[in-house]
Amino acid sequence: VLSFGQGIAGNTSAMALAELGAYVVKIESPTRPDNVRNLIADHPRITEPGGAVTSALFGGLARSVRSLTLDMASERGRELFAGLVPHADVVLDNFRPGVFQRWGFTFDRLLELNPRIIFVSLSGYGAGGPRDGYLAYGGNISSFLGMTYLVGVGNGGHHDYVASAHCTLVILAALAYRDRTGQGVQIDLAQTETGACVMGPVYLDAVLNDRQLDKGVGVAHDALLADLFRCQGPEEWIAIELTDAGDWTRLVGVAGLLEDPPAAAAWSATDTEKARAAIASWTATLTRHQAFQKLHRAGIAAGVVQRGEDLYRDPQLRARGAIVEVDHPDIGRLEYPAPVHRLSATPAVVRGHAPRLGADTAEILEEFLGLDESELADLRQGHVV
Amino acid sequence: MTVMSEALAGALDGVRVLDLSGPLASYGTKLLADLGADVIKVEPPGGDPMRRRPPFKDDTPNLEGSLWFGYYHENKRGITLDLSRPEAGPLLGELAGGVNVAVVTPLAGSPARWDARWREWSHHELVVCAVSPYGLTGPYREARATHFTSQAMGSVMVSPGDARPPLPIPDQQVYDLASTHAAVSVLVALRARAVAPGQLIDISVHEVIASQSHLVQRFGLSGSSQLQTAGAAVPPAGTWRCADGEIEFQVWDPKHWLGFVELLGNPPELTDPALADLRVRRQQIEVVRQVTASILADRKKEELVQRGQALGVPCAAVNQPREFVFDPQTEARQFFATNTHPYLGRYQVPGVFFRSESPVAVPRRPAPLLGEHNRQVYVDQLGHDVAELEQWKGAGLV
Repeated sequence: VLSFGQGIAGNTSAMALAELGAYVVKIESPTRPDNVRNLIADHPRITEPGGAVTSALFGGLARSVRSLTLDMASERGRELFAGLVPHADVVLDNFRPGVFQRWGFTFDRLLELNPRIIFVSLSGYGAGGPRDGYLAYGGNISSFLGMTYLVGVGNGGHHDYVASAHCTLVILAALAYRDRTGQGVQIDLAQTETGACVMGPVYLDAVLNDRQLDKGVGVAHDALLADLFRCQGPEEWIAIELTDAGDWTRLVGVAGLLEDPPAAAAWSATDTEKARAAIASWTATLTRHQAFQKLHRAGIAAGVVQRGEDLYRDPQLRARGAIVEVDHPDIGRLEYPAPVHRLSATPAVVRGHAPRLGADTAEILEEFLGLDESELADLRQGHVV
Repeated sequence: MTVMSEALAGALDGVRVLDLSGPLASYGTKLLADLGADVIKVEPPGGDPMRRRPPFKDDTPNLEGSLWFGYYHENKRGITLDLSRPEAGPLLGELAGGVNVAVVTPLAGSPARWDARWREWSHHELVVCAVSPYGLTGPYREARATHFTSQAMGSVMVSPGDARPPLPIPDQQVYDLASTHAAVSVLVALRARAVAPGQLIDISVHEVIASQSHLVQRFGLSGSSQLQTAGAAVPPAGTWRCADGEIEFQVWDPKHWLGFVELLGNPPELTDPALADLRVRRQQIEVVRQVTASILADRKKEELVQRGQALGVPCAAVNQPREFVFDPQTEARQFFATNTHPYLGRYQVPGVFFRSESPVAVPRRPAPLLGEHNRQVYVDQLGHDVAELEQWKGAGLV
């Protein structure tokens, strides 16, 4: 996989492929590398021996891939890229629509270089149409889709991860198609559209029923009551969902709530409000983990609104090895969420730390293009790699 | 064996999937169906619980009228079988014998009768994919969870930055994300059949959610233990009222800011070049907020979006969902497909999630009516006779 994946969506999709066993080459400009390297949170500036900046965020989004630097704006850089295409199964383009084509790499050109190539372009709004090329952060996608309106705030990260998973899936689907037909495949993926595909019922209701949707709709469709309740301490919450009156009876048993619970068959809006008030006064006396343990044992669906420390110490995540330590030569040892694809025989595993900028340039260009030391030195001299 | 030169009906043409799943994986199996797999959804004779989930067409409850069921079961075939009854055992075995993949969603409190069965299948050349709230192992494996409570535990809710509680993501989008990863895993297992003919895939919704915030690593680095917060953005990042609705900006980079100031017509209060620096702007929040609010209040959102994008400012209108459906971009890319269903009629529905000239995906077929494919599957495929099927129906088994 030759990946130009950037940001969250492009990087994590390429990383998932690498952790599932693909040989993934992340290509960055030698002079303007991936901007995620510059997104520094909670640590001082980290500089690699070669002078490039890196970050803990990059360390978590670009694990397990190899790093090749290539100046695609230069003719020599594009020649080298063209030389690599015959060795690749997948090219992942994550630039604005048209950028890759302006470099001369249309799908037809890639097919000439490799008739079995899979060319996936991931962009905010997709290629074509009046909003082709629009800048799009996850928050913008949320607004465009109607999610910011429904929820009240944008949740940009959600849309990035939704796009990432769909990108990985379509690459695997295209590989399956190609393996059976021998034909290369072009895929145009719009982050907006991947987000819309997990909002099907919202759009069907809006269009088929011509519904004017209210803000905040649709949190829990099957529930008697679903809400966040304040626990002891500032900004401490627990989510509780009661599916049916049986859950209410169970909760009354645990919490000693209302002496006179409403009859199972006859819940009214007033009952729900009474129940809500009773639960709130109960949870206010407990810490969030205390409340969770009581509810968990009683068989009621509940979830602590977990903070960073809660996730870090989460007994379930720890028991399953869902947090892995990665030792990076510049970032140091740091724990990250592990890959989620748990296959019994061929699981996704961390294959290595996020690479230093251009760490594998020499090896890749030697192995696939047969370049020697002096040619590499010239390329470095000319800032092509 | 498919002839190489013939066009495939989707990338997964020929792959057969037994869908024993509930809402946690209904989207994942829909994705497999959209990619050409033959997905057989098994429902209880009274209908899948999702058939009772509102909204319904015309708000009228009907087993064929749930928009949820209609959306999440497109391109699948549907049969009925009462899995709570021991007599279902042999039929379940026959169904499993005819497929490559089985998808299950074991939940706390659900009957464990068949768990040993599908675990066994994974040892016999079947890819078994289990999607569950917490995963099949670990201290919480039996804990109950819902889409709402899972978002709390995995920390995907965003705090609005004031006294209000964090805000959840509606519908079942987080389940759908987890089951997209399930579909990814199924495709990987199918690719790996030469080395591992059968596999058990264990997807945990909790792990999927927890892996998408950076909270674990941030705690490891600095001990910072905040929630994800929307209110922390430095203006003009965020949403603003304008003459005909709302607009949202993401202004982080200095070049975004310079474009934004130009979009506002270079108001003198904002032309100090130092304001391009996020840290400086953080000290001037009130000024930025007042000037921005007063100028945007008189402008129209679409004009702002078009001009803003031309100036390099990441921005979007805060659409209502139907505005997305009828947006010229959505229409130009023909994202919505038309489907025709015996009860829902002809309707517009989100199409496949990508565009391709190659037939990697298949055209839309409507969700199955309750038991629509019983005869096709039990009689034509498994070789039972019609009288037997009628007898099972009479006994309430199918």
